[in-house]
Amino acid sequence: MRKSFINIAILMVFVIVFGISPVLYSQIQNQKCLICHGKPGFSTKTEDGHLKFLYVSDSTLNTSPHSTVNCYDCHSDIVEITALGHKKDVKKVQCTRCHFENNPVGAPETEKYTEFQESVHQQERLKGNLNTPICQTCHGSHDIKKRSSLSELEMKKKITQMCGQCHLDIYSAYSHSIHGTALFEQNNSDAPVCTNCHGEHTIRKKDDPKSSVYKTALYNTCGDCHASEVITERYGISSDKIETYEESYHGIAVQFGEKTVANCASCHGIHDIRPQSDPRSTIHANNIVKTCGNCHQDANVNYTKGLIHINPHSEESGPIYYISSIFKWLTIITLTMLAIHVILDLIKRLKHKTIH
Amino acid sequence: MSSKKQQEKYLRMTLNERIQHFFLLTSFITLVITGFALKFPEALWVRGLFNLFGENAFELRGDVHRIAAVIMVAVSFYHIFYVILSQRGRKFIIDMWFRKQDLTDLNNAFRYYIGKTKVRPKFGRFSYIEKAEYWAVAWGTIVMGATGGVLWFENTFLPVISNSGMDIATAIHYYEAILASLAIFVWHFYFVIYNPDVYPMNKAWFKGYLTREEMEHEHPLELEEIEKEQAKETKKENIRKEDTGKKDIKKKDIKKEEKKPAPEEIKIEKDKKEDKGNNNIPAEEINPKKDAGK
Repeated sequence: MRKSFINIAILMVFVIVFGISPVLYSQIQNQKCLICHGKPGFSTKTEDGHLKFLYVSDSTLNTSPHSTVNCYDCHSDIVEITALGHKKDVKKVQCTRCHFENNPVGAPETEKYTEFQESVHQQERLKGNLNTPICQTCHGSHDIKKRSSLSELEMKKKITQMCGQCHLDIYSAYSHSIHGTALFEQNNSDAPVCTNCHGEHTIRKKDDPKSSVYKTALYNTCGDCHASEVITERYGISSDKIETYEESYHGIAVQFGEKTVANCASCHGIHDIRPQSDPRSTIHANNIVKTCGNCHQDANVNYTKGLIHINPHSEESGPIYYISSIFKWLTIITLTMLAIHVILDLIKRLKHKTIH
Repeated sequence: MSSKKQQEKYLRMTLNERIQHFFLLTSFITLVITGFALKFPEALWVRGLFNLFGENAFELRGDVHRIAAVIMVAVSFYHIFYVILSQRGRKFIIDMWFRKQDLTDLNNAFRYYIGKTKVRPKFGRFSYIEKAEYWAVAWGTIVMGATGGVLWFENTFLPVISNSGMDIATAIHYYEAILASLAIFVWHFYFVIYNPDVYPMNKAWFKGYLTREEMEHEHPLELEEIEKEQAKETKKENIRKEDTGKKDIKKKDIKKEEKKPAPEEIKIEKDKKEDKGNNNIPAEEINPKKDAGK
């Protein structure tokens, strides 16, 4: 009876030391920080005179995926806290302290950090521009949330706002575009946002040949949606716009790496793409001559006569359809007759040759 | 003796005509390659070519296509002048023009192919096969030249003929290109290359002549005509010889008289920029009125 009590006591100690204590310990540590940082309105004055809020809500911490992580684990450069606080020049948190391949603490592993190294944001930072975003700029710091905690629509809206913090003019152009209105006004989660075209961690400058919006790559990026039969069918638009572009002079030249020919954005605009019916659209009947004129100096109203994305195999294409059909049959009939003649002649000649 | 006779040479293409053909064939093949390279950028052979020529391959492709086009159009214009201005050219175009006989020949050829008759139709200087080819090339060059010119100077023509017009020109240029290349590869290449009677090749396009054997196979009527003419000539000469023999003129004088017309003939040939090496002048050449009168 006594022996079993000792056994239970030892077990209890083990449970407390190895099971519960890490949680308690982390809470104790966090509570120490929260003595100051837990006060709403806790702030400091930065060197340039701005007020920097340093309040961290307890509940924010506890609901984040990092609830079991300790302040010290991320803010590792703070080693000493006195009655007056801690050192002032606190460094930015390095997420890679935990998020690297085969890490022992079980933090989600990802290659995105490596991808991010080549992105325009990190490259600019390495050049000394400290205004560029790092992980926590987009993902949040104390209030970080799991991707699954947001719906597709919420996430897309959040992304535009996130990028818009710095790229405000683009945000405003985008929000009035056909894609932006679909997202904000129609709450359409199919609408593309910044990351759909530019990528997430792999964002590159538009004149970087590896960029998804590089002159010769853009049509493929637009094609992610506009060549997809599932998406185009949903909105009753044609899925052959990319294919017909590829067959046009502009498209062929782009495939050969030409950088001076028109791609999707040259005619349709970039962030402010609007439907053709919109008078402000670059491809509205009133503006299209001007749009062509960006490259073709002699552009006149004749440039607008006829279809642009033309599919010779579709009856809607009018004269092109009939010409291609006539030629198709002309070629088939002529070649069949020629082939028959050639084969008959060949048979006779071969026979004749073997006889003699 | 007979095998030697079989190897006798008969002029088919003068040097001038062979040069025309050479420029036409080189420009045509260049146009086919550089043209379809634009339309099928993903094709393996196109990728290979572009890797071969490196970074500027795209511009190079366009430049080479245009240079070849200029050569083809130039040789076509030269040919027009040739068939109008030279005597041999005029004879050429008259012989090349369609006649009722061509339909009969076509009909007889098919009767022969399906076994209804055992005799292959006999062709003259140009069979319906060659006539079809020649006029197809003429038609193709006009169509390709016109549409190609529009596409070349797109900024000039676009404001005039509209975007639709450009699309039509593009479509015609493309489809006619397919038709023309297939026609050449199936039709022309069969009769001058794969044809078992001429395989591995009918060499007239660079040698300029056909042998008697080839003439018997492909142009028996022309051969007959040439021989008729030759027979007439020898008859005339024989009569002349007899006449001179009666008048008791020395052998030396006869030789002189016989030799006289020869340098004149060569001179005529020179004027027409023809090849001196080929001594057999076609019968039509000597008596052009005969065929034209038909």
